Amino acid sequence: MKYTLHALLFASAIALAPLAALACGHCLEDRIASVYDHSAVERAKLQKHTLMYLVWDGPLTHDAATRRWLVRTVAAVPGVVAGSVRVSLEPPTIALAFDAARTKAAALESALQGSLAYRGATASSLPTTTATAAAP
Amino acid sequence: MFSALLLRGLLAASVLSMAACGPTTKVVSDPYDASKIELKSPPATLSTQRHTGPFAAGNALNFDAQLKPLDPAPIKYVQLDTSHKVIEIAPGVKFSAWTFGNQVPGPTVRARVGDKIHFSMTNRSDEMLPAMSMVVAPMMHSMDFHAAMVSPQDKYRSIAPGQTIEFEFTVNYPGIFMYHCGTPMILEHIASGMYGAVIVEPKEGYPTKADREYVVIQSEFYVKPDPAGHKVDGAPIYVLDADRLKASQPTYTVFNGVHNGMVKKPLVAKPGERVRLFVLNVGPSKTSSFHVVGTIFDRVWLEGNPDNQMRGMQTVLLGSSNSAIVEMMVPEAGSYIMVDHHFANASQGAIGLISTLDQAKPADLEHHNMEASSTPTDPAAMSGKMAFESKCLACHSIGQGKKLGPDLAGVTLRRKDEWLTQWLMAPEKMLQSDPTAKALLADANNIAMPNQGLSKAEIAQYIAYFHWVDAHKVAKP
Repeated sequence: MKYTLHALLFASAIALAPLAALACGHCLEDRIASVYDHSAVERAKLQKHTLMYLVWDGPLTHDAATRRWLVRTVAAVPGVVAGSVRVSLEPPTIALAFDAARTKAAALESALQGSLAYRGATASSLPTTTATAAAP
Repeated sequence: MFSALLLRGLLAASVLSMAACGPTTKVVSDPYDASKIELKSPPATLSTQRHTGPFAAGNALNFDAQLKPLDPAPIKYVQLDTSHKVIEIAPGVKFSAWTFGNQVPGPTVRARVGDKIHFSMTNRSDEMLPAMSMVVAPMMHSMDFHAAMVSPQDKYRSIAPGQTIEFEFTVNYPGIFMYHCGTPMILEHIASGMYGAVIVEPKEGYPTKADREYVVIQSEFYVKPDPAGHKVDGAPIYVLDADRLKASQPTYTVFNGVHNGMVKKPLVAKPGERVRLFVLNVGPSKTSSFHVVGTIFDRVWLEGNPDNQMRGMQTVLLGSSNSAIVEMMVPEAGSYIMVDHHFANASQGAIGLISTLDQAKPADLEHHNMEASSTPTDPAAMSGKMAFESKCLACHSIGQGKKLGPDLAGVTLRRKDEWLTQWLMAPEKMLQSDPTAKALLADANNIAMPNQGLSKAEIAQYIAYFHWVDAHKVAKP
């Protein structure tokens, strides 16, 4: 899955793969909306960065301390743009920006998995792509 | 002989045969038969082609309480774009709202069973006035039509600023249906103003003929002055109060988006006319006990469907996202008061008039002991009210009698502002020397009022609120 600037424009909102949609707040766009930051989108466009949205899971308490830990942990992953991390506890979602010219999305996700594993948590990127996004 | 026996036998057989068959059963067709319901709906489409110009368009839309007759077109093209704008929910209370169609409530869609709705929405939350952009950022939004039977994951998906979503659905059931933004946090999106109504008429029309038709949408606002002190047109801008929202403690409960709005602008009717109200409670968290003083609902169609009929009702109970059509006769000249009979809600602004007069007289309301406004509009007094209700009600009341501490109705008439300021600033010091303070302590069984650690600004807000209470006689001691 290639993340591009074009993807950035659509990653924010277009569900292309049918995720398991359970109820309000559980479908793809609802998760993205929970961490959506318009200024981050605008900044990423200017700096040619790519936004990645991930679902996190694991035996973590849903409180402010967990949110802080997640922000710190994700921000420390090599390739993540400083100040770009946003975390939602409910629905459990992460947003980050990275420079696709320097870091591959798969490598970043793998590194993130390693960091989160310390507390038994996982993260998997949401399927946002340009492959079938029919922009008029 | 044989013939006689044969005849008797035939008669008996025919009687038995008739008894076995019983009376003829008439087959009644079910209007909601699954085979008659249209469930086909093509997938929603997304694009980055923005709508420009008006935020709402379509012949099926109604922008005010008064409803236009049904547009006969079988396909209703409905454009409702999202926007962020400042609205005035009460005199001087300019609220940072999120909208459909650039108004709160959003325009009312009117259709008929079997009609197709072709819906289109651009998220234009990034088109804001500078005043708005200081207090709210562009964000994702979505549309959830309760009138539709479609996959939420396809049609109700959230879209980013600048995107447009389009989809179609057929309305299968008559009723008054809510629409709202379904993007997390849904509570915040609805409380910020993202809601409206879809009226779906029965295929054959309503069984009665009404002279007047109005839509009444009840909702709550949870607001506070912007903590950062931003202003719009020189007045403080109000923002969503998340704490009050989560605690279901509204600052205003209103009809059609404005505190006491239909008192100032009554719904018009003449004596002898039949009025049909389409009432929807969108909440997001409170129940409505909708009542009209001075008349009886001849017919109530729960959820706006004539199949759910009740007669001769005084009040109709509507949970959040419930609705009803109520019809009543206007018996004689006068102003008939629409209220949420949960009077705490009415006192927050859920009040309006159906009037045979152009301008209702204040006495029309006072007759029923309902203040036109029991919420201050001055920002300081309003902040004081909020603080009082969240911190002081455990020990004090306003006009409800003594609790652990004194009833504070009339306190500004009994004490000077300087005394109140000193008392609120340091009650423990006052108790050492002030005879009034000592008397209060004795009256409270020697339970001293604790020092609340209030700032001078906070004390000024409390006192502004107490003055407002005494000026308006909100509750009599």
